[in-house]
Amino acid sequence: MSNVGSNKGDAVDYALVNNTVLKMLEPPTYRWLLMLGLCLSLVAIGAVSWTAQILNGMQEAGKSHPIMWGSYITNFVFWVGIAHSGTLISAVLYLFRAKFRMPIYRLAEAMTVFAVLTAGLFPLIHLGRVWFFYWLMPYPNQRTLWPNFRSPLLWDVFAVSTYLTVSTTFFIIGLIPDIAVARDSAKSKFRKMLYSITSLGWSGSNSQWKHYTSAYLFFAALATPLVVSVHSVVSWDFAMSIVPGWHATIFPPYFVAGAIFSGVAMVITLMIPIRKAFKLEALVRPEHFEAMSKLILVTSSVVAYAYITEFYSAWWSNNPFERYQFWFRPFGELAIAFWIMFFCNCIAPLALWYKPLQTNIPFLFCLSIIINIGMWFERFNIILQSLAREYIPYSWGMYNFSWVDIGLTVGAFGWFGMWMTVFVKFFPAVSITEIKEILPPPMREAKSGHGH
Amino acid sequence: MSNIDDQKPEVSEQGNGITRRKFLKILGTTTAAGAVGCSGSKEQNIYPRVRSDDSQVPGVSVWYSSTCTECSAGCGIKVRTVDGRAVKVEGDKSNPINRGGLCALGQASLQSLYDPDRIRQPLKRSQDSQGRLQFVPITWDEAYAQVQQAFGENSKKNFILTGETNGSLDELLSQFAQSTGSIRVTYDASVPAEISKAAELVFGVSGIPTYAFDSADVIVSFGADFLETWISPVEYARSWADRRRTDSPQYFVQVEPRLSLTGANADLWLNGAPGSEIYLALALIGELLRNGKGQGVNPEIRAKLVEVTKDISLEEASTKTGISLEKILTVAHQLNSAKRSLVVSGGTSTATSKSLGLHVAANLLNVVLENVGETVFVTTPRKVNTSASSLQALITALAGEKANVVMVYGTNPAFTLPSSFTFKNELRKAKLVVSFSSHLDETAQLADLILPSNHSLESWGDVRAFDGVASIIQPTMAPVFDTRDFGDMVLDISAKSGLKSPAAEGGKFRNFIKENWKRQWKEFDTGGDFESLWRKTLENGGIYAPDRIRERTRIRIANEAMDAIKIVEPSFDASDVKEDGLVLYPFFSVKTFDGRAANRPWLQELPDPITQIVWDSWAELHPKTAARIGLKQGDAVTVRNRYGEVNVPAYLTDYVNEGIIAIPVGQGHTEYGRFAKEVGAGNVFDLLAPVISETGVSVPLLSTRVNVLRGNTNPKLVITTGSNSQHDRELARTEIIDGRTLGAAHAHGDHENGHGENGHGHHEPKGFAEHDYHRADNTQSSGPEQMYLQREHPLYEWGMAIDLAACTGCSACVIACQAENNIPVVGKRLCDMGREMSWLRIERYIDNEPGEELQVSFLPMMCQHCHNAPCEPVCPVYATYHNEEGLNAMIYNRCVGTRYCSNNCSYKVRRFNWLEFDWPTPLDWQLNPDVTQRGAGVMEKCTFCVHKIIDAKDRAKDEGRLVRDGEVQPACVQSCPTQALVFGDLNDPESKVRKASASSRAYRILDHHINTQPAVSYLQDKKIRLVDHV
Repeated sequence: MSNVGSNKGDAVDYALVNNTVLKMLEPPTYRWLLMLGLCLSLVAIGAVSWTAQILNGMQEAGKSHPIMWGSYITNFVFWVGIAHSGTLISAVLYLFRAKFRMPIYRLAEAMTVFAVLTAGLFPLIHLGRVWFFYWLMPYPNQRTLWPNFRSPLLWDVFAVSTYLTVSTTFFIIGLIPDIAVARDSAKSKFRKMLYSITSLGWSGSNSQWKHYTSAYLFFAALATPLVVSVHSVVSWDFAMSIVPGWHATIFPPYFVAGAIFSGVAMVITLMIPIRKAFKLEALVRPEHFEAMSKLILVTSSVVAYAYITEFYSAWWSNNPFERYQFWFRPFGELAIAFWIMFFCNCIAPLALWYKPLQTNIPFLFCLSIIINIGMWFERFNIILQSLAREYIPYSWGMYNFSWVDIGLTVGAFGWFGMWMTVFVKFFPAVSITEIKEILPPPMREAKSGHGH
Repeated sequence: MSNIDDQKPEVSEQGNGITRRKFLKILGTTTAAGAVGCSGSKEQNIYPRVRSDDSQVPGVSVWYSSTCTECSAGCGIKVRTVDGRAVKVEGDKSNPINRGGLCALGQASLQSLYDPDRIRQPLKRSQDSQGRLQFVPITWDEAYAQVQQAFGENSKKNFILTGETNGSLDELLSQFAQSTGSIRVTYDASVPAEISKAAELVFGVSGIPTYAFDSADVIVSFGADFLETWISPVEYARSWADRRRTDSPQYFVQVEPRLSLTGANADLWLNGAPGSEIYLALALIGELLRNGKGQGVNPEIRAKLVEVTKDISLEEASTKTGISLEKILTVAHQLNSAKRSLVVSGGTSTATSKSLGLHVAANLLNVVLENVGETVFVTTPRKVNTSASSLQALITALAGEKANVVMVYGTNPAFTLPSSFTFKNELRKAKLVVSFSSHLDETAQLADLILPSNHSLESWGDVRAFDGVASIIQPTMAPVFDTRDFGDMVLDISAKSGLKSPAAEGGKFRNFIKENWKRQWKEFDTGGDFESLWRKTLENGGIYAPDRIRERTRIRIANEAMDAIKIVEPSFDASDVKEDGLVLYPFFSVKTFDGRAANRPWLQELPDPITQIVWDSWAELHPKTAARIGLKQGDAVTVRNRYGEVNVPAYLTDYVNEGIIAIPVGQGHTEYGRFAKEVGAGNVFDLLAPVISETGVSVPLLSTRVNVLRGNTNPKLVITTGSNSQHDRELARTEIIDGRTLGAAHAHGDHENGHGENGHGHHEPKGFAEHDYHRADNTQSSGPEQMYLQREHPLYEWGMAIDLAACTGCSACVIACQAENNIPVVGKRLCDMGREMSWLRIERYIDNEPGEELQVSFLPMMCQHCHNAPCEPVCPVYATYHNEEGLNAMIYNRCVGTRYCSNNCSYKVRRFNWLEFDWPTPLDWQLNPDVTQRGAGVMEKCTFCVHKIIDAKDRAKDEGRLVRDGEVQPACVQSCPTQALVFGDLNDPESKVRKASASSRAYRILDHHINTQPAVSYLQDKKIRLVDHV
C-alpha cells in the first residue's frame, strides 16, 4: 500500500509537512469567514425551529400517529453513523498499522467528535418534554427513581455518552504534539495562549513521547470495541422492538457496516474541499482516495447484502406483517425513498469497480455526497416505512414533513459544519506527528533534495 | 341550586360524617377541580355556604335521572354532576327503552349544554351603524313586554312553531294556543311520520308501532336504519343484538341503495335502485301468498292482496330493483320458512314523495307473515305530530302577511326545510318572530326577539314514549347562562297577558307537569299516593310499566291501504337537471343527525362509522359513476340543481347504487356556532324540491335529481382509517354460519333455548379457547409453554371481553370515553395529520372480494392491557408499567415523551399530546375532575377507567369486601347500547368477563403472533350465509 513518503521522488519532507499544515492555521480568509457565516446561519435556523417546538409542543414537527419517530431519529442515526468511521480510521487502522490512514485520520477523528455532538442533540430535540431529559440518567435522587435498564433507549444514552467521552479523549491526546508545533510557530498572542494551554505543556521530551505513544495505543485499543458497540446499541433501538421491519437480528452488523460506509463517504466529502482549500495535495494523495474507495466498495457490498437479507428473511419467515412491510418499502407510498436509498448505496458505488474512478476526485466527491444522501434515506426507510405499516391496518399512516423538521435537519449540518470550520482554522487538521513518522528524518544529505 | 330543590338525587355518595379518607378524597378532587380550571361565573355562590346543602358535597358526584331529548326515542339518562355541574350523561339502566346504553348523540348533549356559542341572555334584533344585522342584549322584562304587546294585536293569526313535542309541554302549548288563538305547527325532519300514517291504514291505530327485533328469526328492513338513527336506535340495537349473540341469530336482510351502519350489520345487503323497493315488497307479498302464507288474514283482504300483487313477479322485482333473482328468492324463502319474522321500512330510501305505499306494503307483509302481536305491536303506539303541510300553511300565511306573532321553539326549519319552500324569506314577513332557541341557529338568526330557553339538561319536562313508559326531564344543574325554562316562559307570558290557561302554581312549569301527572297517574297502577309516586318518578326518572304490552292486536285494514299499495313509479324532480343527473340521497347519521348535532366537537370529530370521515360532509359515489364524471377519491364535487348547490369532496365506495349520490345531512350550517359553521360547504336540504309527501306529513328526502360536476374547490377529505381491508390479519374475525342449518332451527322456534345467561351462547367452551385464556396464567399446565416467568395478579386481574356479534359500530363508546377521560378534540387539521386523541376507536374493515357478499367488521380498539406489553420494557423512565391488577399503567408525570411506547405498541392505541390542548369556556366545565388533564409532550391511552376501579375498590374496602362483578363499569362498557362490552375481574371464575373470555368464540388479537397476552378478548362476529337457498 502506497503512502506518503513512498519513493516517488516528491519532495515531502518535515519542512513541507510543517509548512503545509501550519499554513492552514493562518488568519482566516474571507472565504473561511463566509463558510463560518453560512454554517452559523444554518445553526440559527435550527435554533429557531427547536425554540418553536419547545414553545408550541411536538405539533411543530411532522410526527404523527403512528409515525412517532421521524426525521429526528433519522438524523440521530445518520450522525451517529457518520461518527463511526472516524474511530475506525483512527483507532482500528492504527492498530492494524494501515499507513494510508495517516493524512486523513485527524480529520476523521474531528468528524467523529463533532458528529457525535450533533447526533447527541437529536434525542433531546426529539423528547416531548426535553426539560426532563435528565430523567434518563441514573442519578441518585430522593424519590429513588431509576431509569428502566431494560429500555434500549437507556442503553443508547450510555453508548453514545461513552463513545463521546472516549472519542473526544482519543482525539485530544492525538492532538497534543501537533498543538505544540503550532504553539511554537504561533505569532498572535491569542493563538499562543490557546496553544500553550491546549498543548498541556508538551515539550517533546523522550519520556513524554514514550508516555504519549503508549497512551495512544491504549486509547486506540479502548476505542476499537466502541466502533462495534455504539452502532450495535443504536441498532437495538429498533431491533429490540417488535415493529415489523425493525425486529431483525441482522441489525447490529448491518448498522455497523452502514455506519462505516457513510462515515468514509463523509470523510471524502470533507477531505476534498479541505484539501483543495488548504492545498494539501502533497499530503493527501490519490493513493489515499483509492484506499477509501476500496473501503466504500467493501462496505457498500455489505450494506447491499444486508438489504437483500432483510427481504429474504421477510419472505422466508412467512410472517404476514414482515412480508407486507417489505412489499411496502419498494412499492408503497414511500417507494421513492427506498429507490433513492437503493440507487445511492448499492448501484452508484459499483462505478468504483472501474479503477480510474477510484482516484477521480470530482467523481469521488459526487459519489460521496450521493452515498451520504443514500445513507440518510436508509435510516429514513427503516424508521418511517416500518412505522407507517405496522400490525393494525386501521392505524397505517403517513408522515407530514414540517418546516421544523427541515429546519432542524439543515441546522444539524450547520452545527456540524460550524465545528469543522472552526476546527480546521484553529487546530492542525492533518496530523503533523504521524506523517513525520513515516518520512525520512531530516539529515544533512537530505538538504540536497534527494531522498532515498 | 335552590331553584331545583324538588329534585332528588338517586345516588348520593355521602357517608355518615367525614372520615379521613373521605376528607382527603374531597380535598384531592376539589384541588383537581381547581386545577382543571373550574372558574365559573354562576356557581361561585354555591359553595361559600357555611352549612352545605345536603345533596352537594364538594368533589362528590350526585346523579340525577332525566330523559334524553336529542331525538324522539326518549331514552332514560342519568346525569353525573360534580360541584353543581353536569359532567357526564349516561344511559339509565332502569329505563326500559335504552336499558343503560346511550347513543353518541345523547351523550354529546353535554357539549350542547356547554356550547360556548349558546345564547347567553335575551336578545333583540337590530342593526349596527353600518346597517349590519346584530343582536343586542335586552332585559327579560323588555322581552316579555314586546311579546305581550304583539299578542295584544289580534288582527292577524299567531303561530306556535315547534319541533316534535311530547307530554306536558304538548299540553301546555295546546292550552296556550287555544287561549291566544294561535295555530300550532310542528315540524321535525327526523321523525318518521309516514310510518304513523301507514300504521293508521293497516292497523287502524295512528302512531309508530313498537318492534321486537329480538323475537324475529328473519328481519327484512327496507332502508330502516334502526341501529343508528331510526325511531329508537338504542332500544332496537339492544334487542337486535340480544338475539344476534345467541346460538341462533336472526337472518337479517337490509335493502337500501346506500350502505348504512345498519346495512353493514346485515347478513344480506341488497343494493336496490332508489325508489324501487315497492316492487320487491309487493312481489314478496305475492310470493308468500302463493306459498300459502297469510291464512289468518281476512279472506276478503287476502283476495284483494292476491289481486293487487298477481302481476308483480319476483323476476320483475329483480329487474326493477337491480337485485339478482337468486337473492330475492333467498329473501322470499327465508321469510316463508321463518316462524317469526319482522319487516320494517324507513329511512331515506323509502322517503319518496309517494312512500306510503311501501310502508303499507311492509305492514301488510307483517300481516301476511302473522307478525303482528309477535314482533310488531300497535297497542301503545307513539303519537307523531309533525306535519309538513301545517308548516307550508304557515309559510303561505307568512307570504300573505297574515302572520302576527310566530313563536319558534325546538326546531330549525331555516336549516332542515329545503330553501325551495322559501321559509327563510317569508318568515321575516311576520309581525314579530320570537325564538326560544338556546342556540343561535339559522332560524333564531331570523327572529326579532330571542328569549333563550334552558338546555334540556337545565329544564323541566316529561316524555311519553312507547309501551306506557312515562319519563321525566328534570334540571341537573342551574342554568349555565341567563336563560329560562321554555315552559316557565310560556306560563309567564300567559300570566302577564292575563290568560286563564295555561297556568300553574307559582307560574312554574314544574308544577304544571306535576298537575298534569296528577290527572294521569292512575293509569300506572303503582299503588300508594301521588306524592310518593311523584317523588319516586323524580328519583328514578320515570314510571315504567313492568312489562311490555304484547297482546295480539286486531287488525283493521282500511280500504285506502289497498289503494296505497298500487305500484307507483318513483318520481324525482329533475327540472334543470341534465339527463345523466343522479338521484340525490341525503341521509341521517349519528354524527350530525338532522343538523342539530353539528355544534358538538365530539361528534364532528367522531369518524363516521361507514366512511371513517371526520369534520366534514362528503358525497358517496359509486366508482363507475365517479369515473363517468371524472372524479377521484377526495376530488371536489359540485352538486347543483335549480334549488341550490353543495360543494363537497367525493368519497368513492362500491356500496352505493350507481344511480345515486349520497350526502349526509346536517353539515353546511351558516349559523349555529363555531363548530358547526364552515363544516361542509352547503346544506344538502337546500337541494331538495319543494315537495310534500302525498300524506302531507313529511318532506320527502328522496325526491330530487341533481347535476354532479367536478368542483373547483380544493377540499380535504380526512379519513381516519389507514386501510379499508384488514389484509387477512384476522384482527376482526367473523364466524360464517351456514344459514341452511339455521333455517330449520328458526322454523321450530329453537332460538328460545339459545338465550344464554347474559346473552352468551350455551356452548361449552371448547378446548382451544379455554387454553387460550389460561396462557397468561402460569399456574395452569395447559396452553403453550412460556419461556419466562409470567405475571402474577394476586387479587384482581382486570379484563374485558367484546362481543363483535353484538357490536354494531354505533360509536357510543367512543364518545363515552371522550367524555369520561377529558380527551381533547383536535380539529380537522390535526386529524388529517393523524393526531386525533381518541383512546378508543372503532375500526371498520370491509373484507369481501368483489362479487362476494358484503362483509363489514367493526372492531372497537382500545389499550389491550397486555400482560406482555411491548410498550413497557421500552420506556426508559418507567412511565408505563404493569401493575399487580393486570393494568398497563401510565404515569403522565414521569413521561418524558420519547414516544417509543407508541412505536412498539402493536395495537397502536397510544396517543401523544402534540400540544397543550384547550377547551373554550364553558366547554371546559364538562371536564371530569377525577381524571387528570394531560400536558403537552406526554403519552396517554386507555386506562380501563382506572379512577372508577379505584373508586370501587375504596368502596369495597370500606365495606370489607371485594369488588363485585359488574361494580366497575368503564365508560365504554357502561354506554354500550348492546352491552357488547363486558368488564371485570378475570381472576373471579364466576365473573361475566371470565366466562365470556372462555367462550368458544373468544380470541385475542395478534396474541398468537407476538404473544402479547392482551387482557381484552374479542368474541367473533357472526354472519349468516346462505350458500344454497332452496
